[in-house]
Amino acid sequence: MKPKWVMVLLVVSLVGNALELGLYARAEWQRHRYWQKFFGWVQSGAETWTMRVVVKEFEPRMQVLERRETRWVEELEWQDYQQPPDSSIDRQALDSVASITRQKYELLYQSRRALSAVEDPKLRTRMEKRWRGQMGLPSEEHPKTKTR
Amino acid sequence: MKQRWPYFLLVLSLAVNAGVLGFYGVSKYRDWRQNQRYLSKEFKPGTTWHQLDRLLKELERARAPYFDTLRMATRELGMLALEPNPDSARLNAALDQIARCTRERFRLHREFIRADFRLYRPEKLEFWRNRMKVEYDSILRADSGTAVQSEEER
Repeated sequence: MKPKWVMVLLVVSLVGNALELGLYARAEWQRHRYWQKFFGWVQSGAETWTMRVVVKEFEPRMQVLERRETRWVEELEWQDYQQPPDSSIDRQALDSVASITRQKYELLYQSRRALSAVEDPKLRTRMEKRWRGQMGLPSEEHPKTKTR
Repeated sequence: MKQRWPYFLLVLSLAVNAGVLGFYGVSKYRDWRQNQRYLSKEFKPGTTWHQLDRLLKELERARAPYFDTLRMATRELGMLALEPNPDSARLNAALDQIARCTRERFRLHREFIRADFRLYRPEKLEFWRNRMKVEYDSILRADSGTAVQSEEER
């Protein structure tokens, strides 16, 4: 092989290497972005399974609501396997889930109103931060924090 | 000696290229084979990934506006909780919106699952149904308090 062709092949191959490296970096960056977005979404509290109340006194009530919700969600899932699904049970379960979610959010709201009753300032700050994350509000210490 | 380094570099570069392409090809082939196996085991013959993807994309498209509204209503609720004298009408509106969006979100998800189940093999569906029944029964037992009762009897 002539040296000229060797050089051409070498350049092409090195460009290929650079391309591979670029694609790898891009894939890694995309993966990083995906997880960042996912955690942001979880922090936003948009999904009910991440929802927790901030003030301790409200937790038993929230647990009761969560249990009830699980029961109705399970009922809905069970209906998926029925041929055909019972539309009246379906409707009842959907209405119940919606109503329970409303109560859960109301509890979350009441919990924030009761936050000033927490005496420990450190604990109060931590709860406030957590609550802001759940409600999709930017953090007070870092106003530029992006939340979905 | 002067003439050797381009050859050495070329061999090295080509080896890296071959390694990367080989690794990529093998992993892609493995993924494809795994997916095909899963598809033929769980779903009716003739079902394609394209069909399943389309169902999922339809679900995502349908529920995206509800997610957006839910997020906005949650923020609204958050803002109201920080106000000294929140407007009760706004509070109720935000809570109603949250409930409505949740209902729609669940309804769309159930519709998606049921459409997906129509593509399953009957024997696989029966298998998953039996698994679900165990879970469902345990939830019902816990709900009616019989589980607690039996604990007390012990």
